[in-house]
Amino acid sequence: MALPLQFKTSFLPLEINFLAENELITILPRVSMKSVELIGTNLPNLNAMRRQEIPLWLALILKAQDKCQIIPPIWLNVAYLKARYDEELEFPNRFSSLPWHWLELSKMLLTKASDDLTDAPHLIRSIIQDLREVRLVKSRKGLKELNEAYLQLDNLSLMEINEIRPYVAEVMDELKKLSDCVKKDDSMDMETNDYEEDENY
Amino acid sequence: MGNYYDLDDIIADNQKLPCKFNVTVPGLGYLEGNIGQPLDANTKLNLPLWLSSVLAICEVSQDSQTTFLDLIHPEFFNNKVINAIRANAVNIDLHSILPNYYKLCEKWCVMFSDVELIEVVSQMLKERSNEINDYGQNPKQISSMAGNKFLYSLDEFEKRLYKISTESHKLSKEWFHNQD
Amino acid sequence: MDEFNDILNEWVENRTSESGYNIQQAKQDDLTRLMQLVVNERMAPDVLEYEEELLERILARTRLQIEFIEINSLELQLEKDIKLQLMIVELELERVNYLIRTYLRTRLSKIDKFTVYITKNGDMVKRLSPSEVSYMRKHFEILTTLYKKQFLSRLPELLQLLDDTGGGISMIEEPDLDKPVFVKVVKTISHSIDVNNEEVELLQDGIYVLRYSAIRLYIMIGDIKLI
Repeated sequence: MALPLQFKTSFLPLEINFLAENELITILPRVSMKSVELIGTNLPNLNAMRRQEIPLWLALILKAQDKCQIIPPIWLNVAYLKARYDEELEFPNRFSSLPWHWLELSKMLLTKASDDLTDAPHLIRSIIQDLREVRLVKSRKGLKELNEAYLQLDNLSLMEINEIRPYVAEVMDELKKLSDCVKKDDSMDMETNDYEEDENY
Repeated sequence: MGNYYDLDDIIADNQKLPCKFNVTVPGLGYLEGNIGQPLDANTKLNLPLWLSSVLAICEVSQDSQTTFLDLIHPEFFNNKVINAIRANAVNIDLHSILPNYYKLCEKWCVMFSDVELIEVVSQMLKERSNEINDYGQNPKQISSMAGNKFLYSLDEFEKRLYKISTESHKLSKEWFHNQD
Repeated sequence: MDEFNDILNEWVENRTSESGYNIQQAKQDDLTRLMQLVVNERMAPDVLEYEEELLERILARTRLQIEFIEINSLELQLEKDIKLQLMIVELELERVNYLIRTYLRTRLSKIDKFTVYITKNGDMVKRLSPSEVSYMRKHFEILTTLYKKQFLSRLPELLQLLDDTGGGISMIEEPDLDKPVFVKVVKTISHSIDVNNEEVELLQDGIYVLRYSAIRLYIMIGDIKLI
């Protein structure tokens, strides 16, 4: 088979992480570096101490080689995240607005660039965990409204969507199949058949 | 609809349903243990769905309106079961009523268009699937007494749903806590 | 001489033509488009249109990169800078290869599944690339030969078909266009969509789960995207 079964219904977390790695992030180079022509972009000349926006995967490589410092995105700090957490508690029927790849970006930066963060890593890690949990519980509650027509999940991030995707798709599909059974009023001749009520059974 | 090669579908088709023959058919006596004898009209028999559904719509001859047999309303869709579902969908032991409940429900309702049944079963699916997802996110709970009982009461479709839910949550959790 | 080349390269890189078209931006757009194609192909129930031009452009750049690696790896004295550049180029190459491979593998797995349906459907065949069509034909040939040798030839002739549609049951596997998919709305849809007799308004930035068939056209024109 060209593609394993797991891949057919949804993405693996690692694949979502891969997509997230293409996000642009600002770095502060420590040394100068010559430009490189790539397939998906051109990496311009890097000058020490001059900020530059590059894809995250590249930034992590350079950081690992000690060639740069990563400037954390404006949302990756305790104050902002705590405000979002409070928002989650205040509005139980909707999700607060977080960046599309907030889970992947925060995880990668916490693991590979924790010294560049503005707040203590363990504090950020803890608020991220809280945020994830509260949103997970909320989505569970929201799924109680599942029906066969449609579902609205504004402001969930890709990783969170991907987690519930296989389950939601399967339930919606079955609900749809059930409701379709009683909708077909064209081709089936058997519809007008009566079955027998059998009292002895 | 891609159902041709679906194993679950084939297994579900094998489910026996109660039927009543409308005509006497010579030579079919072996179905009720009388080899060589004809099968009399009004005999009640349990036949697999793939056979009974066809015989239920096939007319005996070109000018007759009578079909070979009539399907009898099976136990698992009767009022007793429906009321039990309405009372408490989550606690009901679906597996012992019928291991392929949802699939059979679909097949039955395509033939008989039982709107009430569909409504009740859809509602049941929503409630039970929620419970399944809860266990899916907290898989340790399934080993508790209540969890175990619930797990064994699931029909085949729900079991698959449980597996999907646990796998997906497990993968995400593993990724999240992985520190590499 | 090197310095002059550098300056020239930098100028070429950042050159903006009259229409404001920037090479770097073009490359980024292509990559973004490729990522969206992978997502689309994974999530859509049927095989989508093969984007020949985009793939060709990206493959051409891939070949350039491979050349770059080969040329520069031959130098015996690898200064540190080149080493790092090489590593970056190689890594990016791997990443792009992964995307292309995933795209193709997803399509192939769908082609495998719906071979009979596609063959009978001229419209669907048009969505495949020439090499995919040739793959499909050869694969099907090998498969049917295997089936025939193993068991089909021993069945009564009437039961030997693989595309039988008699008796109210079809053997042909069709893509389920009603499958529920997750989407994000790029541009608010002017009129509401009817799903199952319920009216749904699709607003910008909203995330919805809907039947694929209901919004297929919007996905094709880009007002809605699969996620």
